[in-house]
Amino acid sequence: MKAKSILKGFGGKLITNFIRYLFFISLGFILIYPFLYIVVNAFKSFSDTYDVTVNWVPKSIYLGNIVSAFKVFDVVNSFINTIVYEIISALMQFCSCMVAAYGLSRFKLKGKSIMMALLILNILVPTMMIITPSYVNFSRMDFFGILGLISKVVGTDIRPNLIGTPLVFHLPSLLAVGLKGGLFIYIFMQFFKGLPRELEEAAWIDGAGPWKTFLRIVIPSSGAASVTVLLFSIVWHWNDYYLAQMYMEDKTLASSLNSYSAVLAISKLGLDTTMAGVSSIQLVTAGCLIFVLPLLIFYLFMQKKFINSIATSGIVG
Amino acid sequence: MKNTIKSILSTFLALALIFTVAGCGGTEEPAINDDDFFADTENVLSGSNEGNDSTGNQIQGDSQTQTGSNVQSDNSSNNQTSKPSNTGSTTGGKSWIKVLSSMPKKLRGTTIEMYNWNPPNEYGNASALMEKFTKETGIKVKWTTADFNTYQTKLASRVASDDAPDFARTNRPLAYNMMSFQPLSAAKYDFTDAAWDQTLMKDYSVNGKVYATSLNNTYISSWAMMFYNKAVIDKYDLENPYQLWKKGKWTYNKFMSMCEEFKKASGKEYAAGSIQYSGIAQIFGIGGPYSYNGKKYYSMLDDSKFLKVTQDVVDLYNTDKTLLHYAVNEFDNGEMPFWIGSSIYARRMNSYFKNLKGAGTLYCVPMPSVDGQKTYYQGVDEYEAYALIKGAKNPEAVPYFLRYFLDPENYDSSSFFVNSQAVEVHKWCAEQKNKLLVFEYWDKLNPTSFDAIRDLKGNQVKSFVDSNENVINQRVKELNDALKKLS
Repeated sequence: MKAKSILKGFGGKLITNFIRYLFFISLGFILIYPFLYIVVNAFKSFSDTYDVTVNWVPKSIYLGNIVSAFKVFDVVNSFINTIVYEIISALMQFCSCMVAAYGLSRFKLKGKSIMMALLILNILVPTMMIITPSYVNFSRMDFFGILGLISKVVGTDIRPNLIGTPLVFHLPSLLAVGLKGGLFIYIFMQFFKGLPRELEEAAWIDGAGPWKTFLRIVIPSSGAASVTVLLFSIVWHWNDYYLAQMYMEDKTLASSLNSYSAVLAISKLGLDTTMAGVSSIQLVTAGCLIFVLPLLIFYLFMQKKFINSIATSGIVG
Repeated sequence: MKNTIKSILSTFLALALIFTVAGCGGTEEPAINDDDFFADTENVLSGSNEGNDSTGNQIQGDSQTQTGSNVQSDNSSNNQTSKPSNTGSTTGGKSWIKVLSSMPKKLRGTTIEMYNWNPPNEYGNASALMEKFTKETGIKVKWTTADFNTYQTKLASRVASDDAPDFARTNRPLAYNMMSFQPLSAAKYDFTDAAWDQTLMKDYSVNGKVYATSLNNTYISSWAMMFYNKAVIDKYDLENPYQLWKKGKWTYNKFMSMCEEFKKASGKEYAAGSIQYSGIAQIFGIGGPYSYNGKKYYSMLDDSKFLKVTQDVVDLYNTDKTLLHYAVNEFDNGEMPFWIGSSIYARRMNSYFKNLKGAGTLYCVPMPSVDGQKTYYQGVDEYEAYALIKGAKNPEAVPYFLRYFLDPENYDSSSFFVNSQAVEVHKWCAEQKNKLLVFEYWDKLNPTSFDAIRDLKGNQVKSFVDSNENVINQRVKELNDALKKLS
């Protein structure tokens, strides 16, 4: 009887484990499938791509697609543009959102409720809805109408046109109203509210002002939230193609990939090369691999800190 | 006496000086000389590749190709006419040389900006064309390539910020996409000339105002046509579609019987690929789920012919298994003889059908005529139309550039299309009177439904169409609301 129940328990556990592993392996496969597809096709030669006998394992590793993708997507320049426009904005955004969040969470301000409402609005309203007024705004940048007033007096329009310059990204990021700025402020706010006030009070007693307290006490204590926001900021800025296409003539990596066309490939590689055997699927997958690789490497280094920060801060998605 | 003569002479000399200066000052620059253009025309783009492909090999021509011939037809319902080419005016109307020579002098030295989602090399050697145009007219052309996904939004944003380009490409007369356009009358140019595509301009007209234009017979328009793989046709001993067309026997029934013949002989499941399901529907005079009558958009869903044709086309995919959607690789690999597409795919720069183009076995004919149907409908894949943009700085210069840029005389046909047969067929399609554009396909209206329609059998189509009635009605309403704003 005892043996039977032990066996039954063991069998039940086996089945449960089997189902659990099956579920997670299947889920893992679904999640990893697109990446596998990209990797495999990026290294397939043209003949392998259209060979029905070749599926997941190419006959040989072909690096020509990577080389072609570098040319077609102008990877070097696109990468530099991505760093200049997007990553620097991401870092600025990270800093400015932290400062804004600290102010909102720790200080009593007049009009705080209005600011909170605007914050929520910033989170809720998608970028596409406000892109046209934003474009107009940046094409004739003004501050409280002052430059416009001066222009009217002087007779010439002195409002600068920021379209096509890095300032369209850097300025909003500096003022914490860039890409997903509202969300980052909110994340930081929730974290700062959870920080014990005693830490800051101890600093005040020692004569530290608000800035010193923020720099010496709050920032070092905000490890978890900082890592989360930094990661999300970098990833979202890295992936952004819409704003890059709207505001810039220069291409970032994401906008290069997004605006791929066969004609572009022909113009960069020459008609003979494309006729000889470089197809869109190979170029696009190779481009996607190049695009994803820096983020993967970055994540590999930050993985541990990222998981800890998610667990600590309870922030998901 | 001496003094008197001196003063008379001095006066005379002074007057002579004044008249000489008056004669020199304010001289207008001479109008562009016809001879200047004629001298350079032969050199435009012809280069050393006349008749050759990019590797220097002779482009294979179908042995039956007869350029410049009139198509003989014993089927009056085919409505086939082919006008002979006329140097200086292959589009009809005034030649581009005459037009440019009458260009106002004040336009010299100005700049125009084109806004397009295609880069210049989509149109062959457009960069060289622009340089040539600038050299001859003094008008500089700036080509701005915008991403297709953000095209409309960015255009609207530029208009709102007073930084509008002068003209922009448009491919379909959808009213809400025309909100950034201004009527062509702003260009102060006579577009009634026969060179301009009046059918297209009718589609782009709202309350008597025309918002976009293009040239007749421009190489860069996109007409629905049937492609065939000559190697497969020969292998299975099928009749040559080009010969059938020339004899006026290229009909829908003939096409279907050839498909059946191929399937029996080869044992293959499908006989033709099709980039869009409406390629066949258009020959029956049916476009997309809604249409435009020059005054308003209206739903086609209640039209019994629309339903019947849609059912029949769906059956071609699913029941008869004649058509396979997309099937680019299958056609390119010689697995089927036919492929329904448009003249874009007959261009050398187009990357489709590498194998067939490399082997020189890709040919095309117009879409077949429908047996017993009086009218021949020429399907339009998309228009190559250009519109003036609101806030354009230099609208008056635009028509002169378009007249030059779109004229087929300024293109080397042998390097633009894969072979001379494609040139002939493209030209023939352009000359057809009854053109039919699909405003939007099902997949643009309701992406999830497009896959569903291809899995249906004929008698299920009605319930599918009924279930999408709200989508179509909503779209028609949006378009008509936009029309009111345009008016």
